[in-house]
This record gives sequence, C-alpha cells and structure tokens, in this order.
Amino acid sequence: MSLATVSPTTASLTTVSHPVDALPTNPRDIAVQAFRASKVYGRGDTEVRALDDVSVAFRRAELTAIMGPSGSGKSTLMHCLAGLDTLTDGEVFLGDAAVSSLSDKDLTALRRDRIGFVFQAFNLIPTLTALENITLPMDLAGRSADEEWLQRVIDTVGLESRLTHRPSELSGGQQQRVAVARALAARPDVVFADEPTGNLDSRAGSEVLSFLRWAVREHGQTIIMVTHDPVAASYADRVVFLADGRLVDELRDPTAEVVLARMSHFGK
Amino acid sequence: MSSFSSAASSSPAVSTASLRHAGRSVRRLIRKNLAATKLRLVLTAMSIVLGVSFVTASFVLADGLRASFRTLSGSINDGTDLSLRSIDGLGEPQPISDELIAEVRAVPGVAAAGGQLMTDGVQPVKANGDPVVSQGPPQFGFAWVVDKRLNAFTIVEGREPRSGAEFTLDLDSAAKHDFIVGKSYDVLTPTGRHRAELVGLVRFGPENATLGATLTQYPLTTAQDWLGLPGKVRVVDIRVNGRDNIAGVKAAIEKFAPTGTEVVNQATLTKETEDEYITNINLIGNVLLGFAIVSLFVSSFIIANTFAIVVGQRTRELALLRALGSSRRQVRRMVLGEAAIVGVGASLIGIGVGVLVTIGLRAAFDALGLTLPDADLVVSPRTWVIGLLLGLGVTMVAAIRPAMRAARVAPVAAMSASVAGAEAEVTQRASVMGAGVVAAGAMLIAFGQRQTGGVELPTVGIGVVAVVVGVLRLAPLLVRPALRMMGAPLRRLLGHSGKFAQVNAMRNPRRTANTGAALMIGLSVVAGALVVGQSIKDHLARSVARTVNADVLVTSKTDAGVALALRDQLQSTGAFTAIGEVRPGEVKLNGKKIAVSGLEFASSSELFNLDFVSGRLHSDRSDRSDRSDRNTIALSVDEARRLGVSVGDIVATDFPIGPRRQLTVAALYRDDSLLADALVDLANWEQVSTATTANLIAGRFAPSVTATDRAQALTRLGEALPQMNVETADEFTARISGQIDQLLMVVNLMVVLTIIIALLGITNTLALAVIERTRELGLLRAVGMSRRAMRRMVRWEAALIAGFGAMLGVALGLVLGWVGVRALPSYVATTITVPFGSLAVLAVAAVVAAIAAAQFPARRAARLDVLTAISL
Repeated sequence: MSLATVSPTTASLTTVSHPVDALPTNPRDIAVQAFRASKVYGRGDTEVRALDDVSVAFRRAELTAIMGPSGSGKSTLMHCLAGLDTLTDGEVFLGDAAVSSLSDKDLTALRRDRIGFVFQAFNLIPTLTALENITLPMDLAGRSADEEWLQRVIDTVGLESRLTHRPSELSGGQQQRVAVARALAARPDVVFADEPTGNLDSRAGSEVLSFLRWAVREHGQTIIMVTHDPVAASYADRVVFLADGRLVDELRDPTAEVVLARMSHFGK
Repeated sequence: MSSFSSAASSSPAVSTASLRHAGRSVRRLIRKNLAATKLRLVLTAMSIVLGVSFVTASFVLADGLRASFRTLSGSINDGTDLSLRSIDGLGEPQPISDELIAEVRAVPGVAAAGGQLMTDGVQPVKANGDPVVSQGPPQFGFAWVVDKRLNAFTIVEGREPRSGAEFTLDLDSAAKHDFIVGKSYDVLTPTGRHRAELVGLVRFGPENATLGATLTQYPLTTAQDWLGLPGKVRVVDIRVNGRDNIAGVKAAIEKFAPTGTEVVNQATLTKETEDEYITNINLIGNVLLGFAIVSLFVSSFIIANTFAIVVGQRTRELALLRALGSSRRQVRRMVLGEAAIVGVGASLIGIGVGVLVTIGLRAAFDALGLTLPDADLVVSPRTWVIGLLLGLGVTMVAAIRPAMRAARVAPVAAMSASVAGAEAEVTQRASVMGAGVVAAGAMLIAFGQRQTGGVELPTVGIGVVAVVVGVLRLAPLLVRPALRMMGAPLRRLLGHSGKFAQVNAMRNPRRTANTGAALMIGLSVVAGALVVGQSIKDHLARSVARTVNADVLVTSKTDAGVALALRDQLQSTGAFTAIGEVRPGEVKLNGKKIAVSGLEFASSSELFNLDFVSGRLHSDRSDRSDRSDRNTIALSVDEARRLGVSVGDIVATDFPIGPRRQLTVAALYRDDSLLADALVDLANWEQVSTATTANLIAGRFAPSVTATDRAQALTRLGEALPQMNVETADEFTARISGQIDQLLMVVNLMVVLTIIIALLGITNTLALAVIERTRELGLLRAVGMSRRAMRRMVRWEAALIAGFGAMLGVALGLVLGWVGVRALPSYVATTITVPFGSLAVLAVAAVVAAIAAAQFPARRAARLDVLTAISL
C-alpha cells in the first residue's frame, strides 16, 4: 500500500470540518453519536483537551474501530460514549437518549440494559463462575436470559465445558471470550470493547475478534472497539482515527496494511 | 499532505498530554495509597488505643484509690492507741458491755476511752418525707465518741450530738439531700422510726471520703437504744498518755478484759482498715484489668487481620523489593517494624486516653452514687511499662503471621498481573490442631465437675480457655459451611447483592473468621452472663414458688436486715395467723464454717414448705413449748453429702458463743434460694448472734382475711415501713430478678468496649476489602450494579461476618453459661436455663450494629468512580 492510494480520503478530510461517515445516514440507523464533544482536564496552564469538538456517528450493525496514538483521546471518547465519563461540552446520544442529562441511577440502568463492555484486563468477577459472569448484567437487571440466544453465544465462543470454572481457572483468551459472551448475552444496543486483545497472544486475539465479527455479521450487533492493533482494526467495518483529541481520518473496510500506513502518519 | 503536517506538528502536545495523563493517574494512585494507609493506620491504632487505655485506666484508678485510702486509714485510726474488742471469730465482732468503757478509763495511763457503735441501715428521712436511699454504699449510724482524737468525725458546722434525740450527718449527704442544721428529721433505724434534731454536720477523716455512704451520729445511749444494742458497744477505743505506756496499759486491760475479747494496737487497726479497703480496690482494679486484657486480646485479631490484608495488597511491591535484592529477613523486618511503630504510637496515645477514661470511670461511679475520694491521676512508671509492653506486644504478636507471609512472597509475583493477594487456604494441620484443643478443653471441663456438685475451678478454667482457643483455630474452617447456610436466605431475599455479600464474606475464610472471632469473644461473655443470670432467676422463681407458704415477706431495702421489732408491728394488725423470721448466722459443723439460717422449727411449716427428702424439722406439731428442737439441725442435701451425714447422725457444732454441742440431723432438704445450707432452731440463737435483725420476716394471713383486705394490709405495711420491702412471694421474686438483671447490665457494660473494638474491626476489614476490590467493584458498576445495590452488598457482608461471630459467640456463651451455672453454689442455681429470646436479641443486635459499622465502607464502595476504578 502506498500513500497515494489513501490520498483521496485524506483530501476529503481537509474540506469537511467534522468528518461523518460518507454513506447516507438515516437517523434510525445511528446507534451512538457524539455531537461537538469536548473533554477538558485541568485549567489554565495545565489544561488538557482530551477531546476537542468531536462529532462522530456510529451505525447499527457495524464494528467500528477507534484508533489513534496514546493520548489521542480515543479511550476518553469511548468512555464518554459509554456513559462512564462525562463530557465538558457537547452531547452523546445513545439511540434517542441524551447521555449527559442522565442521573447516575439512569446511567447505571443504561449501562446494564443497553450497553455491553469488554475491557482489556480484569474483565471478570473472580468469585463468580464463567456462566455467572456471562449472565451477570441480566442478573443485576433482574431479567432472565434468553436461553436460546445464550446457548448460541456459548456454543460460538466454545465455552461449554468451562462454564462452571472460575476466572482463575481459565486462560487469558478464555477469560476474554467469557467477557465477550457477557457483553453479547444481554443483546445490548452497543458493545464497547476497550483494547479487547491487548493482553492476548495473536491466536487468542484472533479468536476473540472473529467472535465479535460473528456477532455483527450474523446478529446485527453494534460494536465500538478501541484498539492499537492494526490487525484488530482490520476486523472492523470502519476505522476512525483520532489525534490530539480530534477526529482526523477514517477508513471503510480496512486492511491491516492500510491501517498501519495511516497510523504511521499520526503516530509520531 | 498538509493535514498530516499539521498532525505531525502537534505531536509534542500529544506527548505532553499523555505525560500529564500519566502524571494524573500516578498522583491518583499515590493519593489512593495514602488514603488507604491513613485509614489503615487509624483503624489499626484505634483498637490498640482503646485496649491500652482501658488497661491504663484500671491501673490509674486503683493506684489513686490505694494512695488516698492509705492516707485515710492512717488518719482515721490516728488518735487510737489501743482497741478492746471481742475476738473476731465468726462473722463480725460481737458487741461487748459498755461497762468496759468505765473500767478502761480507770486504768492508769489511759487518757481517754470511748465506745464505738456502728450499724448499717440507718436512714435519715428528708424534709419531703422520703428516706435517703442508697443503691449499694452503706448507711451507717454511729455512736458519737466524745474524745476528739478518738473520733474519726470532725464537726464542720453546728455542734456535736450531746444527749437525747440529737444527731449529726456527714456534710455530703446533707448537701445532697438538703438537710438543714437546727431542724428536726425522722431517722429510720433497725428498731423503727425516730425523730431527732440535726445539731451539726461532720466530716469523715480529712476529706470526707465517704464513697457515697450516708453517715449519721448519735449520743451513745441514744445510739444504743435506736440501733438495738442497749448497754453494748462494739469496740472500746483507747488513747494512752505517752507512747511508752502503751504496752503497760495493754497488759493492764488484758488482765480484766472478759474472755473472748482482745486488745489490739494502732498498727494492727490501721493494717486491718487498709487491708479491707485495699482488697476491695484490688478487686475493682483487677476486674477492670481483666476486661481490659480481653479487649486487647480482641484487638489482636483486628491487628492481625489488618496486617494480613495490607501485606496481601502490597504483594507486588514486596515482590519487587525481593526482585531487587531484599532478603526475606528484610521484608519480614519491614512489616514487623511497621507494626512496632504502630504499636508504640498507639500504646502511648492509649495511655493518654486512659487518663481520660479514668476520669470517665470516676464520673460513672459518681453517677451510680459511689463517689470515690479525690485522688491524683497518677500514671506510675509501672503503668507506662505495662501499657507499652501490652500494646506493643499484642501488636507484634498479631503481626508475626502476616510478616512471615510477606517474607514468603516470591520475586516473580512482581511480574504477574494477579491482583489482590493470594487467598490463604486453611490448612489441614490447623483444623486437626483446633479440633484437638477443643476436645482437650472439653475433657478438662468434664474432669473438673465434682461429683457433689460444683466444679474444680482451675481445671475447668483451663478447659474453657482451651475450648475458646480451639474454636478460634477452627473458626476459619467453619466460615464456608456456616455462611453457605446463613447466606442462602439472603440470596433469596436480596438477589445479587445478597449473593455477592455471601460470596465475598466466604472468599477469605481466615479474614472473616478473625473479624467474626473478635465479635465472638465479647458476645460469648454477654451470652454466658445471660445464661447464668437466667438460670439464677429461674432457680429463684422455682425455689420461692415452691418454698414460700407465707403471704407476706418483709425484707430490708438495705444491708441492715429486718428489725425483729417489726414482728410486733405485723402482729398488731391482727391479720396474720403465723409470723416468723429467718435469721442469718454462721456456725462450724465438724470444724467446717458454713452459713446457717435460724427459724422456728415448730411453726416453720406454716410459712415455708421445704422440699424434704428425708426426716422432718419438728417431730410434734402440737406442742410448741417442746424445746427438743434445740438439739437438732437440718441440712441441705448437698451439704449433707459434703459432710457425709444423713438423718439421725450427730454433727459436732461450734457456735460463735458458748460451748460446742452435738446436734442430731433431723432432716435433709433440697437446696433453696431463701435459706442457707443448714437450719437451726431459733431456740439456739442466743448462741449464734446477739443481732436483733433478721434476713426476712414472713407472715401468713388468717383464712378469714379477704383478698382486698390483704392487699390493703400490704399497702399499709409498705407505707409504714419505708425501709422495708413488703411483698408477696411473686413480688419478691420479681424484685430480686430485677436486681440480677441490673448486675447483668454492669457485666454487659464492661464488655461493651470489647464489642466496640470488634465492630471497629468490621469497619476496618471491609474498608480495606473495598480498597482491595476497587477494580472488581468498578467492573460491577460498569456492567450495571447500582450504588444502592453496592452499598447493600457491603452492608450485608458485614452482617454475615457479624452473624458468623454471633453464632460462635452464642454457642461459646452457652458453654460458658453452663460452666458458670455448675460453678455456682446449688442454692443460687442448679439447672441451666437458656434465655432463647435474649440470645436471639443479642445476635440480631450484633448483626444490626455490624450493618451500622459497615456504613462507612459501604458508602465508600458506592462512591467509587467507575472509570477510575476500572482503569486503576
């Protein structure tokens, strides 16, 4: 891949101040969006703009990767989209819900009922078995699991024989598959994955990513994933790039090579 | 391309931002660690501070009291060179004739002699008609001793009582109850109600250290009449001209002094007074010290727990140290060093706080009407040393196991991503040892049971300690099964909060066991006391219900007893067919001193229905003039077994007065709350005591008296005898039960500190657990656990820990209670009664208190910032 092949997209960036997906968007197709989102830490000299006027929309039934160098604001963006952190300015809409207006109680319910999480590490409750971890959000909500769906998820991740094990008895890859199963089991509107393969070897990582891919393809799950890894990003339908708290670029149907090339521009 | 260059140019900003980002999280970490350290220091230190302060207070209080009583007892006996009194044989010295005063005065070299007379249960009546009542301190009436130096009282207002119906009163009582010199007041004495003019106020010793007692003084002859000892004094105090003459005077008096009397010098008197006081002070001091040491013991569990958790949390830090080349020894030393600093610091603070506690204790005694004499708050070197050694020692011992564990951390642990420290499994060895120790303790308790009732206290005591220690060792093993059971309803009721509460309480059995055990110790003492108290109350109720045929029991509200003159007062109502008294005394049976009750055998069955197993008290009921009862004695079954006698056997009986006699055992009866272990007929009483008071006077209404008349008679008698309890058997039982409850209350108050320390331990453990589980809690919040559910989860974990402690505490309390009941004399309690209701209330209260104690960690858990927690 040479730089030339990516220049058309780059060119479009210079003309669009708030890059949104080029495809036509029906509002009903948008799962999550940030509108003029800013996040500022500190004041005066120590002020850091982690997010600087970012507007971005994420369509349903897509796997989107958010990429960018350390400190680019990608984790902050994800945390704000997921209602884990609050914006200084702007708004996040999850479906029709304006996240910033929600109380802690409503946010908790939102996370429980409409969002699934996969973190880089420490993803599971050590005192619960794999199955209990998977059904935890539903247990917390006092809902019973959709048995058929649950069984499909478990079959797909291949955890049937491990369901009664505790996290300490599982390998890192197995733990992460349990975490993904948990995120999907309740059929949330959006799954947020924060460096889901960051702690895994490449084989375990690709298992987890295939699984995420499967959920999008077969079941129309919306997934937003923060990652450093171009290979992980290549599983996505779309990649958005952040640098200095701003959205600077995006790609459709990326390959690892294209992503890598793109990143080398923002990295240093 | 331009866009890329702009991106590139901003890259320094990126690295600054990320640096700041990193700096922020590092600061956050440091802040968190500091907060954790501060919290841990405060919570650990607090339990030691409390324990040491109690130890200090018990020393400071007792030291101060000892010092002031030494001064006091010296000054009381200051002017008295010699005392003539009856030889202290059985009970208190018998009164002697007041003619001896004149005889002593006539001895050459005697400067002055005065008769001492003192009786308890003398109450001045306030202007409003209420007698001055006391909840324990005595109410003494004295004969005024004319010679100033022989008299322990000094007039501070008005004048001394000279003759007739005059009296003086100690100035504290006067001030407290508004007595005014020059006015006349009623005075209640064992002989009844008298009226006298208050002519002056007195000070007792140099400081009027009356300990809350009410002290009145009367002219000698008035005192003799009113106190019921006409022509008698208890002691003749003597002042001699010139110290050199003392021995000569002593010899001269001894020549004419009647047999059964002795002459003692000032040194003996002072020592006796001191011994009496010091014994009491030592008792108070030792009881306080005992409770203090129990609370320190409890503190040790909390300290052990805290250090264990802290070491677990610092596993990676310790591993890093090891990886960088620290030896195990250094790591161990580091942890022990930290413990030493905490121990010394907390002990020093504890000693300081102890002085405050002493002031608090004195105020508490004051509130109970027991005013202690002013004493300096002296922290003697011994107090410093013991306070420091105990505080430091307990901390160090408790830190040993965590320190060893810290030293075992492998360097490789620094590299692993494992979070909270490995959860120590309970070893097989510990469980076998624990079970063995419990079994050994149980065997010792069994061996300590005497065939004849009662227990061998040392054997049983060691057995009980062994059981406690064994249970403490076994506790970690019991955690999982116990919590599985206790948590099940919680899961059903509270859903996931309950489930997490249960699972979290179970995940580290040793920690839960230690935290619960701290609570267990305090609760077991309370539960044991409740069991013993209930057993005593039940025995009393059963015994009174069975024994008392009488309709009325008259007992004294003070220790003074019931004046025999009251018999006449009852008689004069004309409502009673039978009236009789039970009198207290002591005799020696076959050389062994025991308490006896005196009652009229002939009429006893009308008033008391003793449970005879063989024989009977009185052979011929028709003839009351028959004096043959003089030669018989009745024994409780237990006492007969101890003496090895049965009905018809002869027992050699030494009375306090007169020659030894051979009494025939007439009957054996089952133990009884109202009566002592031996009964003798009143016909013998002149040989037992000259006291004119009884334990109780009982009356039986004539059948013709209607129920309303009976009630009226009781009310009237009660009004006429304000110093007395005039009660039916049921009322009597209820009142004594109330007193037992009060005593239980005092025991429980002493244990409160221990329980507070244990509750602090729960706060401590959970606060540290919340820090330890920060990321896990963050994850739970991220996937949708509400703040409320999180608070509930922590609170119920506390409830489960407390429930575990309460379960063990109550179980152990039953053992303590059973042993306690066995150790009590059989007339106090025989069979164990378990107060299920009170024990349930106790357990529930402990759980509720634990939930309250978990408030702080629960709020902390709920306030965790989700993002911070998961990205830590």
